[in-house]
Amino acid sequence: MGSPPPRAPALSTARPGRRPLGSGRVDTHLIARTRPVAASREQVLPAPAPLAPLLPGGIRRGSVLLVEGTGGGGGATTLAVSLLATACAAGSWGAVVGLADPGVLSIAELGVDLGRLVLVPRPSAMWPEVTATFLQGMDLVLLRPPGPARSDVARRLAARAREQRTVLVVLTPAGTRWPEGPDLRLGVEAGCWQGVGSGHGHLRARRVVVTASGRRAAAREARAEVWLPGPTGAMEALGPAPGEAEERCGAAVDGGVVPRSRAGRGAR
Amino acid sequence: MQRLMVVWCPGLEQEEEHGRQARALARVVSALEAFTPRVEVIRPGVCAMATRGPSRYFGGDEALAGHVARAVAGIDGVQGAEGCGTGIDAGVGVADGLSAALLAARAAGDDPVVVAPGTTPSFLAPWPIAAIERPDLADLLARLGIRTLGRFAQVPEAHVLARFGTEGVACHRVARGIEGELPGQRVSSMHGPGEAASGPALVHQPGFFGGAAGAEARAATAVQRVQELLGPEAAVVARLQGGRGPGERARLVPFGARRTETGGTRDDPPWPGQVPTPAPVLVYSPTLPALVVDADGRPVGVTADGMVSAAPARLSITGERWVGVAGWAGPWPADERWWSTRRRRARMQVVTVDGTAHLLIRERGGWWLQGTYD
Repeated sequence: MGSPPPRAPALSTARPGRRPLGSGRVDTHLIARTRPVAASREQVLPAPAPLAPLLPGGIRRGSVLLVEGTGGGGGATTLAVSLLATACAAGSWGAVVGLADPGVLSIAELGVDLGRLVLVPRPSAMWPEVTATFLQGMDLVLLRPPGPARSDVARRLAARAREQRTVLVVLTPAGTRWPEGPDLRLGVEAGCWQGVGSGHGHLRARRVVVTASGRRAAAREARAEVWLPGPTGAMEALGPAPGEAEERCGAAVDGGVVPRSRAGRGAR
Repeated sequence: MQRLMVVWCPGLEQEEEHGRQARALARVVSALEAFTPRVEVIRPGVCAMATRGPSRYFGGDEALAGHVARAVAGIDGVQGAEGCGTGIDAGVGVADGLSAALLAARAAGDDPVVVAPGTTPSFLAPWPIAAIERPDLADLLARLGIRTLGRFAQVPEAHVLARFGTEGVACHRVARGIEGELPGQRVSSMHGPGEAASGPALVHQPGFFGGAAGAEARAATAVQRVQELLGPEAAVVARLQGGRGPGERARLVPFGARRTETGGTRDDPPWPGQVPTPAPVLVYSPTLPALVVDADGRPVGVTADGMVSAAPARLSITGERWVGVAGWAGPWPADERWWSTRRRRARMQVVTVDGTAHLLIRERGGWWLQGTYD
């Protein structure tokens, strides 16, 4: 992994004698003003509208989001790609590292602009370097670590994301962990597919509960129920009659709805 | 039809390590950019440029081709350490249309091959049918006794359409010299093994950098650094095209190639049996072996009329533990390539009791996991 750019020396040579580089406040100010044009952007990337309760205002640039696969029912990959979708839809660039079997059609259905997406499905043992490199050039990097991560690697990637004001979304499969606490931790619970019966229909939508907890102000866990994906393939806000849908979620298979072993437990 | 020059570097078609071939090709592109600002990388080892403008300046296609061949021969090759350039082995060909120019480049030895304007059909005629870069179709045509492009060109178009569909007609029109290239020919049909090349055409990224906003340039620079780490094939971009299954409807092509405006062909044909939306977010290539049994533990098959032989009760993927089936949908027929050997393929969606949904395909007498709706 490369070393971080020598920001302070570059600043002092760029503006000799103009202003003392004393206080951190002045530094920040100068750094913001001397950033390349492409980097002087808004402070946040847009978040999916149905997740507004969890990500008010959007996804803060420079932050690390952890999307955890909780096993059973799944949905973590779809959630992570949905974050990428809204970010890229606003003209940002995204990279996906380590997602070995990407479903491109689904990624497009979820709303990702394929013209602004680069994938490295098999980054080998070089995934930390690859991720760090992308953090320098992209607006959002989705990392699914292909192997266990050391905590110094996780710390360095977080630092790189912060410096470059890039969002790092780490997707951890069920049963693995990311060694560093993220800025925001997202999970998917109570997945419940609709549309499939005994040999009829087809998968239409999955109703899930997305949970979010962070550190600092966002320590309290927040929850939002969404379709992930909805019938169009993208994340959608829950329909007008959530009560009814929830009831049907636990109904018999032949009602066109598939129960989940844990359905009902995390539903609300 | 556009007059094109193709520079074919056989030594750079296969990536070996750390992107050395890609960097060598980049040097070829820079050398060509001395002649024209618009150089396209068609695929690894192959680049092309329109000759109309530069030929006028350099005194004709022959003169231009000669200049280019000398320029490329003077580049440091892949093996060349600093200061001891070995040159890059390249064939230079000029013809009407990409297909003919590619073949001209492959026919070229040390001297470039220039196919005179309007003589493309007679140049193409003696080439073996495999030169159309559609292996399935070439195989079938060869078995029908049509062994050269010239013989193929003589078949009436109506017959080609009736027997081989629109893709056959596209190849036919190239063989007759009416069209310059096949759709998707600018994507490798060689380095994507088993992949049918039918995606949109691609252009090299200088154009991409050229008109680029800062963010684009930053992104492209980052990708190039990654390609230096892992090789150019490692970083890919995704494209959509027509097809039935989620695997067929998408293709991954190495970054460094970019779509030109080719019109929307991707969903033009009807695709009966297309898997309905939403698509699985994980798609396995190759597919993974799966077992599906009924309540009595007997394997579940698909009957001749397209029904499951029994209600699926349990599913096992790659020999892992059995998981109960909570619901399923399908099977749907998934018969592509109707002209090839008859094989009955069908897809089925299965939701297991833990709430996970999968897309399975019935093929070669077994079930295979094609995707997961994670």
